[in-house]
Amino acid sequence: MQHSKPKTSAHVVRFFAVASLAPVVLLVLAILFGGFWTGAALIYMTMMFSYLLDMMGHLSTDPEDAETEYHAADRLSTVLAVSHFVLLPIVVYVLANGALSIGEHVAIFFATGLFMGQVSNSNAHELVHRTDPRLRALGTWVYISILFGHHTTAHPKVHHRFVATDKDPNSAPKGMSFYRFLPHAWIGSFKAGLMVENAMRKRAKTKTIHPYAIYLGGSALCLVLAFILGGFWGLLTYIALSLFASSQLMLSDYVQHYGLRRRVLETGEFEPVGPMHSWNSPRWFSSLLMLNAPRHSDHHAHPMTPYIGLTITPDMPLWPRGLPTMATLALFPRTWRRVMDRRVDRVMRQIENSSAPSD
Amino acid sequence: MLKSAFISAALLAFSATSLAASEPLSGAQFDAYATGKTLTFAEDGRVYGAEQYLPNNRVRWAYNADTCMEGIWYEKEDNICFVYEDGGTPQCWSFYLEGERLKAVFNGESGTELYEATQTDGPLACMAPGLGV
Repeated sequence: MQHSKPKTSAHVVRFFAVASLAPVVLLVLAILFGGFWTGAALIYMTMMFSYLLDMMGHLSTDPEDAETEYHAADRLSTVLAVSHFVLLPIVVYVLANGALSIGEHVAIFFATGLFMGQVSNSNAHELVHRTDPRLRALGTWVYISILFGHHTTAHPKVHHRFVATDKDPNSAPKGMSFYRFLPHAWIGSFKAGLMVENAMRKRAKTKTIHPYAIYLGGSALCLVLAFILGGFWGLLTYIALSLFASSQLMLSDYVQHYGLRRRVLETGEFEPVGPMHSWNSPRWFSSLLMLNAPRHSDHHAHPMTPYIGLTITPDMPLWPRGLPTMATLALFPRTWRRVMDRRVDRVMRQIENSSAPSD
Repeated sequence: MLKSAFISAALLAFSATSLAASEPLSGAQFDAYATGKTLTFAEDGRVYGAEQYLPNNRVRWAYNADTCMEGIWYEKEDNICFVYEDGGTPQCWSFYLEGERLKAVFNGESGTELYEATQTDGPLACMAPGLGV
């Protein structure tokens, strides 16, 4: 039996910062100078780019001493959230009023949408798991700004609780295509989150403002702001960007738990969430870009642990490629099922054969 | 005479501070360090939980980001013990100040060792248990 110390690096937050802030810099350059930079911003965010970098080599992104980097990790999250709030209105304004060519507009639209869908989403997800209310508020507003505020409730209170069961609208059952999953998850998580909040408020007899009022009111405010910035065209651009970003969030949820299900125990409860209930990927670049979102099993095991502290162990199911590649594949349901269904069957056989949990 | 008394006092003070590093914190020392703060504890790079230390020995402990428990702490021998509203048995830990951060060693079979990973002076964002569905 081999026991070797895994390769680690010091100050890994720097790597995450470079990978996730590069598109912010490229987008700013694209807005200022157009031309080459619009192409560069778009290419950086495409699946092909992350695929090539993922395949080109390996960079150890495991920290030497994760705890000492928690603060730095939170600082990067704050910078990313602020960048999101600065970029979004500027892009809406530029796309509605700008003097760039149609091609440049299209490139900026897609680069921004992909950035918000992959980086802002992953970052907001980190922030809503923090115990510091200021960080949590920041994450909540990132979700509100892509018209998806209810995720702040539904993610920790529904998804984490019922992941890999039919009770979680964001855990895709085997055989469901992404196109059927999308409305199912959108409407399902909105409703399930609302029910949780209502039940909690009833029990605690709270008179404070309903979180859903903040989600919906905040979204209405954002829509008004988009209209002020760019008129009808600005409003349309903003809605399209938001739908593009939130559908990537659900695409990520779709691939992360596709087909995996927890067993029901004799007591009628679900077995505890384990390493086998999420799909993972160790590929370095897409992990840096998406703040270790592809280390998903460990996130469910340790939801409060900042992204830099997450690891991959041999008992976690792996996708054959990185997250952006798998997400793109999921847009082609027949190919997706050809690649994934036999893998799902293999993991589910392992789950069935593993000793029944004693709990 | 006065000089030697001064030196021995200085030495005593020095050994007292160096001892403080290896001796568990007393209730008063723990109170002085923790009260008013929210500390996040980690074990091997993973977050173990976070706790807010309120005046009058009251605490709020979060073991996941969304549920937390109210409790109190008290000093018992060299330990700081915690009892929570869930009615479980008291959990006793010895706390040490290592450098600028706390180390907590569980007084029980597991002997779990936790380190303070982050601290803020703000509240803890969580919901009391039983409020979920």
